[in-house]
Amino acid sequence: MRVLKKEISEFFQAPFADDTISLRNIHSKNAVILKLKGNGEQRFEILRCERVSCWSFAQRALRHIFIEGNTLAGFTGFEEIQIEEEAGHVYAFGKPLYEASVVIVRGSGRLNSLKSFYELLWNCCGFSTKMPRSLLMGDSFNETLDRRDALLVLSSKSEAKVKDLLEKGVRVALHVENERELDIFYRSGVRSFILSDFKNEYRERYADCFFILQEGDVASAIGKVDGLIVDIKEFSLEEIVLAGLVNRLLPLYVSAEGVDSKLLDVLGFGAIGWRRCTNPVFTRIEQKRYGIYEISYVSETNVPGRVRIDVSKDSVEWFFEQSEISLKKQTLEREDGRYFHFYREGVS
Amino acid sequence: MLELRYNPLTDEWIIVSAETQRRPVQPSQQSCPICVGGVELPEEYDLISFENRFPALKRNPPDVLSESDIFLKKRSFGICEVVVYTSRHDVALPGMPLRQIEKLVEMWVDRTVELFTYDFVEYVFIFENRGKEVGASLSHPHGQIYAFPFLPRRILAKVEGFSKWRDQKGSCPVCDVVAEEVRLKKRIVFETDSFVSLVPFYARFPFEVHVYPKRHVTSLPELTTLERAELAKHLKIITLKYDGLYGQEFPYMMMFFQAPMKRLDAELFHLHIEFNPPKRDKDKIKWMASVETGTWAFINPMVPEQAAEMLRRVEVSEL
Ligand SMILES: [Zn+2]
Ligand SMILES: [Zn+2]
Repeated sequence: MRVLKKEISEFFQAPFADDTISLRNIHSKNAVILKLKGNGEQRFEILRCERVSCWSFAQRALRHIFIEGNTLAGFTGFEEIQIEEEAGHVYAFGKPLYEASVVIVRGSGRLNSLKSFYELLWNCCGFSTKMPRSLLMGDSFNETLDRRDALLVLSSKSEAKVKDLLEKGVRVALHVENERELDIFYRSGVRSFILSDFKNEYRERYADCFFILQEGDVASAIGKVDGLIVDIKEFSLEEIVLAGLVNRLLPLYVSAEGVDSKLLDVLGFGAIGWRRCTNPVFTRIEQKRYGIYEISYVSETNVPGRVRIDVSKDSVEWFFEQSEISLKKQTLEREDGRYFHFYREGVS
Repeated sequence: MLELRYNPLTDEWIIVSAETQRRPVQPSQQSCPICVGGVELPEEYDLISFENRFPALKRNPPDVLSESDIFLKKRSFGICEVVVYTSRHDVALPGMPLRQIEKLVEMWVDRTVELFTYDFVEYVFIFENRGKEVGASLSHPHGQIYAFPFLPRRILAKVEGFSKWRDQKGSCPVCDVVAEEVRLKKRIVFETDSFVSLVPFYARFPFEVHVYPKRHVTSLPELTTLERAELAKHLKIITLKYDGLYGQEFPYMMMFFQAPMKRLDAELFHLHIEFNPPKRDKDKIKWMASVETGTWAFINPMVPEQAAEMLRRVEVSEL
């Protein structure tokens, strides 16, 4: 694999500089981060690898990661990306935006390298993660349950209805077609938007807003928007596992139809039109054997469980552990607005 | 006044909460506010966690304006809860039935999960101050939970410690310590299949005890049913041994260190519980004084191996 037309090993030698693309590298033991400042005009070759030995995510949403042997190279912050195949090689071309990065990780195992890749992106971009929140469609809204946890995606854009819900303290999210619409609803108090075209200047203009991108790739959406809608149906299980990891970095929302809802629970995705478990799910993902991943989690009712995903056979096995003690919780709000959570034995 | 103020000298946020000045001091038992019928809890209950009447952090804190680029302020987002372990006024962790402590562990699990769902919460800290020596203002058995909007300095130090160890050795320091202590046995106070309680090699307080799960788990919710029950047992045994040490109620600070779940490197963190008792002898207190407060350097007047031996020898009645 070659990155920016150089052999990977060159980046792991003494500090590296290149005048043409203003390059900065940060060394750690197993990783290098190359930061590129865009010069505005040219597209160039970001990386190239051999088709036969290279493994990459098949789907658009996660594809800017390439793995060859024990080396992973992934990138973010480029536009007009094009992946081409020619004479047994795969090429990625693109144009760096204001700050683009190429991350190279050398290590053992695909999943570990992938984890390091996302950790590094997160560390060097310096943004904090947001918990995914459920997205609910207008009609599946339960006032007492969802007020705090969910974003209510309204299907109609009636200003009176929006106003009414906002007054009740409901977090409303709206699909907007263009900036004019965004501006109108921003003025009426909406702070969450789903849009298909995001411009960086929205960040400054609407600093207190939560933006979910309708469609796009994960690597470019990280650090830019607050959430992304992905089509998980076409993912392989390994990609779903990875998406579960990414989800901590960038909340991913999926339409739940046709996907095992329990699996989504475990991975903590937000979902549209369907009630995700609203508590966060603590996942630990371990590679047990080649192709077999084990994920530990806690269900909505605090029952710890594990799921084993066998990627080679596409099989999913569930293990639940029923607690001997089960507590029933009842929450009261006192007159001064304080919450009192009563716990007693019993099934809730 | 309720706000966060930034200290650039130490890169940390300070919680200014003038309201805490109005906290009650040592009320008599007749007026216990958290007994059934008390001012906070008029109704019957078994266990309860409720938002503090005088919180340092709030779900809906007042707005603040930074005075300048030099004096930075933030709103005091967060949640402070009082966790009442039982409706019985006259027991404490060591005297509570094991079943009640198991329920308490389940409640802590649920509080951890729920508090982390708030967008503004970055860290959930469960703790108990027992005894007037460490500032407990109520004798009814209870602890507290602070859900912080930032990662407190010492938690960050731990996160960095875990990360440094991983970089250098490729493993988890707690996993490594547990394996070594179990082999050596000399600092262990109590051990079961999945937990070990010990006076750590690096103890800062004379009778400091740490409770470590043997398995690498990052937080309470990850513990299995069996592990949760074993944890309850350790908490009871350790506090029983403390009380038996000098035949008196032994004051302590009990603190739960869980992973900052919203960070990607959360998985490096290994759940652990620290007991920091201030007593150095039957009637001597080791205070947090200039050296400890000012530099975070500790001078431990007790050899940890000897403290472990003393605690091991305290007989506790069968559970
Ligand atoms: Zn009481
Ligand atoms: Zn560990």
